[in-house]
Amino acid sequence: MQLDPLILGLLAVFVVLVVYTLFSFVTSRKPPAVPPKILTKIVCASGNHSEVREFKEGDYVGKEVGKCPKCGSPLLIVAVYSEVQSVKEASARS
Amino acid sequence: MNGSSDWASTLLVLLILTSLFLNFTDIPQKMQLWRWASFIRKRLYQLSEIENESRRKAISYLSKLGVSNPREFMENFLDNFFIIEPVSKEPTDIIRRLKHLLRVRSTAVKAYVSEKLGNIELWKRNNTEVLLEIVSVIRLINKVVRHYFQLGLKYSNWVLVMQLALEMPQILRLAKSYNDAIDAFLKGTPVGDGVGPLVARYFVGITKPEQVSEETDLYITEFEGRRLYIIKARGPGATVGWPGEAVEKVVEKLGGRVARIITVDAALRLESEETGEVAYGVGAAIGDPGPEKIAIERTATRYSIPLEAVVVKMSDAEALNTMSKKVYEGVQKAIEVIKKIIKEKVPKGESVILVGIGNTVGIL
Repeated sequence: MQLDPLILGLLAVFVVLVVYTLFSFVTSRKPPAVPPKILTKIVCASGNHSEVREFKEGDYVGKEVGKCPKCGSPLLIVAVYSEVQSVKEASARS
Repeated sequence: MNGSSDWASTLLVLLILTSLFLNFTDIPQKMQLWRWASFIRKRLYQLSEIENESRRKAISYLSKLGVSNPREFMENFLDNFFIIEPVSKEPTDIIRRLKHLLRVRSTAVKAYVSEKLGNIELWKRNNTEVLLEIVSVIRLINKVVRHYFQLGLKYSNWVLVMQLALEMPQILRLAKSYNDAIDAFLKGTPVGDGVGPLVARYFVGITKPEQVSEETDLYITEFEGRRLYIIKARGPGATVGWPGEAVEKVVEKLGGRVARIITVDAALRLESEETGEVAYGVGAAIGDPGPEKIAIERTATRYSIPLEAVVVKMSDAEALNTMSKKVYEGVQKAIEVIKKIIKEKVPKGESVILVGIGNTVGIL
Protein backbone atom coordinates (compact mmCIF):
# COMPACT_ATOMS: atom_id res chain seq x y z
CA MET A 1 0.00 0.00 0.00
CA GLN A 2 1.37 3.42 -0.93
CA LEU A 3 0.54 6.39 1.33
CA ASP A 4 -0.60 9.69 -0.13
CA PRO A 5 2.33 12.20 0.16
CA LEU A 6 -0.06 14.77 1.67
CA ILE A 7 -1.10 12.36 4.45
CA LEU A 8 2.56 11.47 4.94
CA GLY A 9 3.43 15.17 5.30
CA LEU A 10 0.63 15.76 7.79
CA LEU A 11 1.74 12.73 9.82
CA ALA A 12 5.31 14.04 9.88
CA VAL A 13 4.11 17.44 11.12
CA PHE A 14 2.01 15.76 13.81
CA VAL A 15 4.96 13.64 15.02
CA VAL A 16 7.25 16.72 15.16
CA LEU A 17 4.65 18.62 17.21
CA VAL A 18 4.22 15.75 19.69
CA VAL A 19 8.01 15.34 20.11
CA TYR A 20 8.44 19.12 20.58
CA THR A 21 5.68 19.24 23.22
CA LEU A 22 7.14 16.30 25.15
CA PHE A 23 10.67 17.76 24.92
CA SER A 24 9.47 21.17 26.19
CA PHE A 25 7.64 19.51 29.08
CA VAL A 26 10.66 17.45 30.14
CA THR A 27 13.19 20.30 29.87
CA SER A 28 10.97 22.80 31.72
CA ARG A 29 10.81 20.58 34.83
CA LYS A 30 13.25 21.89 37.43
CA PRO A 31 14.84 19.88 40.24
CA PRO A 32 13.35 20.66 43.68
CA ALA A 33 14.90 23.76 45.27
CA VAL A 34 17.18 22.99 48.21
CA PRO A 35 17.27 25.72 50.87
CA PRO A 36 20.82 26.93 51.46
CA LYS A 37 22.33 26.44 54.90
CA ILE A 38 23.33 29.56 56.79
CA LEU A 39 26.67 29.50 58.56
CA THR A 40 28.32 31.71 61.15
CA LYS A 41 32.09 32.21 61.13
CA ILE A 42 33.67 32.93 64.50
CA VAL A 43 37.24 34.11 64.95
CA CYS A 44 39.33 34.81 68.05
CA ALA A 45 40.33 38.51 68.35
CA SER A 46 43.99 37.43 68.59
CA GLY A 47 43.68 35.15 65.58
CA ASN A 48 44.43 31.94 67.50
CA HIS A 49 41.16 30.16 66.83
CA SER A 50 38.52 30.01 64.11
CA GLU A 51 35.35 27.98 63.70
CA VAL A 52 32.28 27.78 61.47
CA ARG A 53 28.96 26.68 62.89
CA GLU A 54 25.29 26.83 61.93
CA PHE A 55 23.61 30.22 62.21
CA LYS A 56 21.62 30.81 65.41
CA GLU A 57 18.94 33.47 65.72
CA GLY A 58 20.50 36.59 67.22
CA ASP A 59 23.87 36.12 65.50
CA TYR A 60 25.30 39.19 63.80
CA VAL A 61 28.72 40.26 62.59
CA GLY A 62 30.68 41.96 65.36
CA LYS A 63 28.88 40.14 68.18
CA GLU A 64 31.03 38.72 70.97
CA VAL A 65 30.12 35.08 71.58
CA GLY A 66 32.47 34.02 74.37
CA LYS A 67 36.15 33.56 75.06
CA CYS A 68 38.76 31.78 72.98
CA PRO A 69 39.43 28.26 74.35
CA LYS A 70 43.15 28.68 73.51
CA CYS A 71 44.05 32.21 74.67
CA GLY A 72 40.98 33.64 76.43
CA SER A 73 40.60 36.55 73.99
CA PRO A 74 37.06 37.49 72.89
CA LEU A 75 35.50 35.35 70.18
CA LEU A 76 33.83 37.52 67.54
CA ILE A 77 31.43 36.70 64.72
CA VAL A 78 33.14 37.89 61.53
CA ALA A 79 30.74 36.58 58.89
CA VAL A 80 27.32 35.08 58.33
CA TYR A 81 26.78 33.57 54.89
CA SER A 82 24.69 31.02 53.05
CA GLU A 83 26.10 27.97 51.36
CA VAL A 84 24.32 25.93 48.72
CA GLN A 85 23.90 22.34 49.85
CA SER A 86 23.41 19.31 47.69
CA VAL A 87 20.09 17.40 47.67
CA LYS A 88 21.89 14.55 49.51
CA GLU A 89 23.10 16.89 52.30
CA ALA A 90 19.68 18.50 52.66
CA SER A 91 17.86 15.18 52.97
CA ALA A 92 20.43 13.95 55.51
CA ARG A 93 19.83 17.06 57.65
CA SER A 94 16.04 16.93 57.51
CA MET B 1 -7.55 13.30 -13.34
CA ASN B 2 -4.79 11.14 -11.81
CA GLY B 3 -3.78 10.85 -8.11
CA SER B 4 -0.70 13.11 -8.16
CA SER B 5 -2.49 16.10 -9.73
CA ASP B 6 -5.28 15.58 -7.15
CA TRP B 7 -3.02 16.09 -4.09
CA ALA B 8 -1.12 18.86 -5.85
CA SER B 9 -4.31 20.86 -6.43
CA THR B 10 -5.39 20.23 -2.80
CA LEU B 11 -2.02 21.50 -1.58
CA LEU B 12 -2.30 24.58 -3.81
CA VAL B 13 -5.77 25.39 -2.46
CA LEU B 14 -4.46 24.92 1.10
CA LEU B 15 -1.53 27.24 0.41
CA ILE B 16 -3.75 29.95 -1.02
CA LEU B 17 -6.18 29.69 1.89
CA THR B 18 -3.34 29.76 4.43
CA SER B 19 -1.82 32.78 2.71
CA LEU B 20 -5.17 34.61 2.83
CA PHE B 21 -5.60 33.61 6.47
CA LEU B 22 -2.13 34.80 7.48
CA ASN B 23 -1.95 37.99 5.42
CA PHE B 24 -5.43 39.39 5.16
CA THR B 25 -7.04 38.69 8.54
CA ASP B 26 -6.07 39.59 12.12
CA ILE B 27 -6.95 36.10 13.33
CA PRO B 28 -3.28 35.07 13.86
CA GLN B 29 -2.73 38.14 16.05
CA LYS B 30 -5.90 37.38 17.98
CA MET B 31 -4.70 33.83 18.50
CA GLN B 32 -1.31 35.09 19.62
CA LEU B 33 -2.99 37.55 21.99
CA TRP B 34 -5.08 34.77 23.45
CA ARG B 35 -2.01 32.57 23.85
CA TRP B 36 0.14 35.28 25.52
CA ALA B 37 -2.77 36.36 27.74
CA SER B 38 -3.19 32.81 28.97
CA PHE B 39 0.57 32.64 29.65
CA ILE B 40 0.43 35.92 31.63
CA ARG B 41 -2.65 34.89 33.64
CA LYS B 42 -0.80 31.84 34.98
CA ARG B 43 2.17 34.03 36.01
CA LEU B 44 -0.12 36.65 37.53
CA TYR B 45 -1.54 33.95 39.74
CA GLN B 46 2.01 33.12 40.90
CA LEU B 47 2.71 36.82 41.44
CA SER B 48 -0.39 37.15 43.63
CA GLU B 49 0.71 34.09 45.59
CA ILE B 50 4.10 35.73 46.20
CA GLU B 51 2.40 38.94 47.34
CA ASN B 52 0.08 37.04 49.69
CA GLU B 53 2.99 35.10 51.15
CA SER B 54 4.94 38.31 51.79
CA ARG B 55 1.89 39.79 53.52
CA ARG B 56 1.48 36.70 55.70
CA LYS B 57 5.14 36.89 56.76
CA ALA B 58 4.84 40.61 57.55
CA ILE B 59 1.64 40.17 59.56
CA SER B 60 3.13 37.28 61.52
CA TYR B 61 6.26 39.35 62.34
CA LEU B 62 4.23 42.41 63.33
CA SER B 63 2.01 40.26 65.59
CA LYS B 64 5.13 38.94 67.33
CA LEU B 65 6.22 42.53 67.94
CA GLY B 66 2.90 43.20 69.65
CA VAL B 67 1.17 45.35 67.01
CA SER B 68 -2.55 45.28 67.88
CA ASN B 69 -3.97 45.33 64.34
CA PRO B 70 -1.08 44.28 62.09
CA ARG B 71 -3.14 43.97 58.89
CA GLU B 72 -4.49 47.50 59.11
CA PHE B 73 -1.05 48.82 60.09
CA MET B 74 0.51 47.17 57.03
CA GLU B 75 -2.25 48.05 54.54
CA ASN B 76 -2.11 51.68 55.59
CA PHE B 77 1.62 51.73 54.90
CA LEU B 78 1.37 50.00 51.51
CA ASP B 79 -0.98 52.52 49.96
CA ASN B 80 0.70 55.62 51.35
CA PHE B 81 4.14 57.15 51.84
CA PHE B 82 4.81 57.72 48.12
CA ILE B 83 7.28 60.39 47.10
CA ILE B 84 6.84 62.90 44.27
CA GLU B 85 10.12 63.72 42.60
CA PRO B 86 11.09 67.40 42.57
CA VAL B 87 10.67 69.54 39.44
CA SER B 88 13.56 68.83 37.07
CA LYS B 89 12.82 71.46 34.40
CA GLU B 90 14.34 73.99 36.77
CA PRO B 91 17.39 72.09 38.08
CA THR B 92 18.66 74.73 40.53
CA ASP B 93 18.81 73.19 43.98
CA ILE B 94 17.24 69.94 42.74
CA ILE B 95 19.54 67.83 44.93
CA ARG B 96 18.76 69.90 48.01
CA ARG B 97 15.03 69.60 47.29
CA LEU B 98 15.32 65.85 46.69
CA LYS B 99 17.33 65.42 49.89
CA HIS B 100 14.69 67.36 51.78
CA LEU B 101 11.88 65.18 50.39
CA LEU B 102 13.78 61.97 51.16
CA ARG B 103 14.42 63.12 54.74
CA VAL B 104 10.79 64.14 55.21
CA ARG B 105 9.58 60.75 53.97
CA SER B 106 12.12 58.88 56.07
CA THR B 107 11.04 60.81 59.18
CA ALA B 108 7.37 60.18 58.41
CA VAL B 109 7.96 56.41 58.01
CA LYS B 110 9.96 56.25 61.25
CA ALA B 111 7.26 58.18 63.09
CA TYR B 112 4.54 55.87 61.71
CA VAL B 113 6.43 52.72 62.73
CA SER B 114 7.50 54.08 66.12
CA GLU B 115 3.95 55.15 66.95
CA LYS B 116 2.68 51.58 66.58
CA LEU B 117 5.69 49.72 67.92
CA GLY B 118 6.34 51.96 70.88
CA ASN B 119 9.71 51.98 72.54
CA ILE B 120 11.50 49.03 70.94
CA GLU B 121 15.14 48.52 70.03
CA LEU B 122 16.41 50.51 67.05
CA TRP B 123 17.33 47.40 65.05
CA LYS B 124 13.80 45.98 65.37
CA ARG B 125 12.31 49.27 64.21
CA ASN B 126 14.72 49.41 61.26
CA ASN B 127 13.92 45.82 60.27
CA THR B 128 10.18 46.57 60.44
CA GLU B 129 10.60 49.59 58.16
CA VAL B 130 12.49 47.52 55.60
CA LEU B 131 9.95 44.70 55.87
CA LEU B 132 7.10 47.10 55.07
CA GLU B 133 9.08 48.62 52.19
CA ILE B 134 9.67 45.15 50.69
CA VAL B 135 5.98 44.19 50.86
CA SER B 136 5.19 47.57 49.34
CA VAL B 137 7.56 46.91 46.41
CA ILE B 138 6.04 43.46 45.75
CA ARG B 139 2.58 44.99 45.77
CA LEU B 140 3.71 47.73 43.37
CA ILE B 141 5.18 45.15 40.96
CA ASN B 142 1.89 43.21 41.01
CA LYS B 143 -0.15 46.35 40.43
CA VAL B 144 2.01 47.63 37.55
CA VAL B 145 2.01 44.24 35.79
CA ARG B 146 -1.78 43.98 36.09
CA HIS B 147 -2.12 47.52 34.78
CA TYR B 148 -0.22 46.80 31.57
CA PHE B 149 -1.93 43.44 31.12
CA GLN B 150 -5.41 44.94 31.41
CA LEU B 151 -4.41 47.85 29.19
CA GLY B 152 -3.15 45.42 26.53
CA LEU B 153 -6.37 43.40 26.62
CA LYS B 154 -8.59 46.50 26.64
CA TYR B 155 -7.11 47.83 23.40
CA SER B 156 -6.21 44.41 21.91
CA ASN B 157 -2.62 45.62 21.91
CA TRP B 158 -0.96 42.28 21.22
CA VAL B 159 2.51 43.87 21.08
CA LEU B 160 2.12 45.13 24.66
CA VAL B 161 0.76 41.79 25.85
CA MET B 162 3.54 39.89 24.07
CA GLN B 163 6.23 42.17 25.56
CA LEU B 164 4.76 41.68 29.01
CA ALA B 165 4.63 37.90 28.54
CA LEU B 166 8.28 37.85 27.54
CA GLU B 167 9.20 39.97 30.59
CA MET B 168 7.17 37.86 33.01
CA PRO B 169 9.88 35.32 33.97
CA GLN B 170 12.25 38.16 34.94
CA ILE B 171 9.50 40.01 36.81
CA LEU B 172 8.57 36.86 38.72
CA ARG B 173 12.20 36.20 39.60
CA LEU B 174 12.52 39.74 40.96
CA ALA B 175 9.31 39.48 43.00
CA LYS B 176 10.48 36.12 44.38
CA SER B 177 13.85 37.65 45.33
CA TYR B 178 12.06 40.37 47.28
CA ASN B 179 9.90 37.78 48.99
CA ASP B 180 12.96 35.69 49.93
CA ALA B 181 14.65 38.87 51.18
CA ILE B 182 11.97 39.13 53.86
CA ASP B 183 13.35 35.94 55.46
CA ALA B 184 16.86 37.39 55.49
CA PHE B 185 15.66 40.61 57.14
CA LEU B 186 13.50 38.76 59.67
CA LYS B 187 16.38 36.47 60.65
CA GLY B 188 18.75 39.44 60.69
CA THR B 189 21.40 37.84 58.48
CA PRO B 190 23.69 40.07 56.38
CA VAL B 191 22.52 40.47 52.79
CA GLY B 192 24.59 40.73 49.60
CA ASP B 193 24.17 44.50 49.62
CA GLY B 194 25.97 44.49 52.98
CA VAL B 195 29.43 43.96 51.45
CA GLY B 196 30.35 47.62 52.08
CA PRO B 197 29.52 47.55 55.82
CA LEU B 198 31.17 44.10 56.14
CA VAL B 199 34.43 45.33 54.59
CA ALA B 200 34.28 48.40 56.86
CA ARG B 201 33.66 46.12 59.86
CA TYR B 202 36.87 44.21 59.14
CA PHE B 203 38.95 47.39 59.47
CA VAL B 204 37.03 48.57 62.56
CA GLY B 205 38.28 45.77 64.81
CA ILE B 206 37.31 46.54 68.41
CA THR B 207 37.18 50.35 68.05
CA LYS B 208 34.16 52.10 69.59
CA PRO B 209 31.99 54.24 67.32
CA GLU B 210 30.80 57.83 67.55
CA GLN B 211 27.65 59.01 65.81
CA VAL B 212 28.42 61.29 62.88
CA SER B 213 24.98 61.47 61.20
CA GLU B 214 21.59 59.90 61.81
CA GLU B 215 22.05 56.08 61.99
CA THR B 216 25.62 56.52 60.71
CA ASP B 217 28.75 55.87 62.76
CA LEU B 218 32.36 56.94 62.53
CA TYR B 219 35.24 54.76 63.76
CA ILE B 220 38.74 56.17 64.05
CA THR B 221 41.58 53.65 63.95
CA GLU B 222 45.05 53.04 62.55
CA PHE B 223 46.19 50.90 59.62
CA GLU B 224 49.92 50.41 59.04
CA GLY B 225 50.81 53.95 60.13
CA ARG B 226 47.85 55.64 58.39
CA ARG B 227 44.93 57.18 60.26
CA LEU B 228 41.75 55.46 59.14
CA TYR B 229 38.32 57.11 59.39
CA ILE B 230 35.68 54.46 58.79
CA ILE B 231 32.08 55.39 58.06
CA LYS B 232 29.24 52.87 58.00
CA ALA B 233 25.55 52.68 58.83
CA ARG B 234 24.74 51.72 62.43
CA GLY B 235 23.95 48.00 62.72
CA PRO B 236 22.85 45.39 63.24
CA GLY B 237 19.44 46.70 62.13
CA ALA B 238 18.50 47.16 58.47
CA THR B 239 19.57 50.65 57.47
CA VAL B 240 21.86 52.34 54.96
CA GLY B 241 22.40 55.50 57.01
CA TRP B 242 23.43 58.83 55.47
CA PRO B 243 27.03 58.21 54.32
CA GLY B 244 27.27 61.28 52.04
CA GLU B 245 26.46 63.67 54.84
CA ALA B 246 28.86 61.77 57.12
CA VAL B 247 31.75 62.07 54.62
CA GLU B 248 31.06 65.80 54.28
CA LYS B 249 31.18 66.29 58.07
CA VAL B 250 34.35 64.26 58.58
CA VAL B 251 36.24 65.97 55.74
CA GLU B 252 35.15 69.42 57.01
CA LYS B 253 36.24 68.46 60.53
CA LEU B 254 39.66 67.47 59.19
CA GLY B 255 39.88 70.70 57.18
CA GLY B 256 40.16 68.71 53.95
CA ARG B 257 43.44 67.07 55.03
CA VAL B 258 42.51 63.62 53.68
CA ALA B 259 44.77 61.70 51.32
CA ARG B 260 41.99 59.53 49.85
CA ILE B 261 38.32 58.65 50.14
CA ILE B 262 37.57 54.99 49.40
CA THR B 263 33.97 53.83 48.91
CA VAL B 264 33.04 50.12 48.90
CA ASP B 265 29.70 48.86 47.64
CA ALA B 266 27.90 46.01 45.92
CA ALA B 267 27.49 46.34 42.15
CA LEU B 268 25.12 44.54 39.82
CA ARG B 269 26.99 42.06 37.69
CA LEU B 270 26.45 41.45 34.01
CA GLU B 271 25.34 37.96 33.03
CA SER B 272 28.83 37.25 31.67
CA GLU B 273 30.46 38.15 35.01
CA GLU B 274 30.90 35.94 38.05
CA THR B 275 29.41 36.62 41.49
CA GLY B 276 32.08 37.81 43.91
CA GLU B 277 34.30 39.44 41.27
CA VAL B 278 35.98 42.55 42.62
CA ALA B 279 36.78 45.64 40.57
CA TYR B 280 38.16 49.04 41.49
CA GLY B 281 37.98 52.40 39.81
CA VAL B 282 37.40 56.09 40.34
CA GLY B 283 34.28 57.78 41.71
CA ALA B 284 31.74 57.29 44.46
CA ALA B 285 30.47 53.71 44.62
CA ILE B 286 26.99 54.34 45.95
CA GLY B 287 23.57 53.69 44.44
CA ASP B 288 21.38 56.23 46.22
CA PRO B 289 18.86 58.48 44.42
CA GLY B 290 21.45 61.29 44.32
CA PRO B 291 21.94 63.40 47.46
CA GLU B 292 24.41 61.11 49.24
CA LYS B 293 26.48 60.44 46.15
CA ILE B 294 26.70 64.08 45.17
CA ALA B 295 27.69 65.00 48.74
CA ILE B 296 30.71 62.67 48.47
CA GLU B 297 31.61 63.92 44.99
CA ARG B 298 31.30 67.59 45.93
CA THR B 299 33.34 67.18 49.11
CA ALA B 300 36.09 65.30 47.29
CA THR B 301 36.15 67.90 44.50
CA ARG B 302 36.17 70.87 46.90
CA TYR B 303 39.37 69.64 48.54
CA SER B 304 40.82 67.79 45.49
CA ILE B 305 40.75 64.48 47.34
CA PRO B 306 41.16 61.43 45.07
CA LEU B 307 38.02 59.28 45.17
CA GLU B 308 38.45 55.51 44.85
CA ALA B 309 35.65 52.98 44.36
CA VAL B 310 35.80 49.26 45.07
CA VAL B 311 32.85 47.06 44.11
CA VAL B 312 31.88 43.43 44.61
CA LYS B 313 29.73 42.07 41.76
CA MET B 314 26.50 40.16 42.29
CA SER B 315 23.01 39.76 40.83
CA ASP B 316 20.01 41.73 42.10
CA ALA B 317 18.65 38.59 43.79
CA GLU B 318 21.98 38.02 45.57
CA ALA B 319 22.08 41.66 46.70
CA LEU B 320 18.70 41.26 48.42
CA ASN B 321 19.17 37.86 50.04
CA THR B 322 21.39 36.35 52.73
CA MET B 323 24.99 36.89 51.70
CA SER B 324 26.19 33.89 49.72
CA LYS B 325 29.58 32.25 50.20
CA LYS B 326 30.73 33.56 46.79
CA VAL B 327 29.86 37.12 47.79
CA TYR B 328 31.65 36.63 51.11
CA GLU B 329 34.73 35.47 49.21
CA GLY B 330 34.37 38.70 47.20
CA VAL B 331 34.41 40.64 50.48
CA GLN B 332 37.73 39.03 51.40
CA LYS B 333 39.16 39.97 48.00
CA ALA B 334 37.85 43.55 48.38
CA ILE B 335 39.62 43.82 51.77
CA GLU B 336 42.92 42.88 50.11
CA VAL B 337 42.34 45.42 47.30
CA ILE B 338 41.68 48.18 49.86
CA LYS B 339 44.77 47.27 51.87
CA LYS B 340 46.81 47.52 48.66
CA ILE B 341 45.29 50.91 47.75
CA ILE B 342 46.04 52.29 51.22
CA LYS B 343 49.60 50.96 51.28
CA GLU B 344 50.43 52.14 47.76
CA LYS B 345 48.54 55.43 47.53
CA VAL B 346 48.34 56.81 51.07
CA PRO B 347 51.68 57.94 52.57
CA LYS B 348 52.35 56.96 56.19
CA GLY B 349 51.08 59.48 58.72
CA GLU B 350 48.24 60.68 56.48
CA SER B 351 44.50 60.15 56.79
CA VAL B 352 42.16 58.08 54.66
CA ILE B 353 38.38 57.78 54.78
CA LEU B 354 36.84 54.36 54.13
CA VAL B 355 33.08 54.34 53.53
CA GLY B 356 31.17 51.04 53.65
CA ILE B 357 28.08 51.66 51.55
CA GLY B 358 25.03 49.42 51.75
CA ASN B 359 22.50 47.87 54.08
CA THR B 360 24.06 46.92 57.38
CA VAL B 361 21.47 44.34 58.46
CA GLY B 362 23.21 41.66 60.53
CA ILE B 363 26.43 43.70 60.76
CA LEU B 364 27.18 45.74 63.88
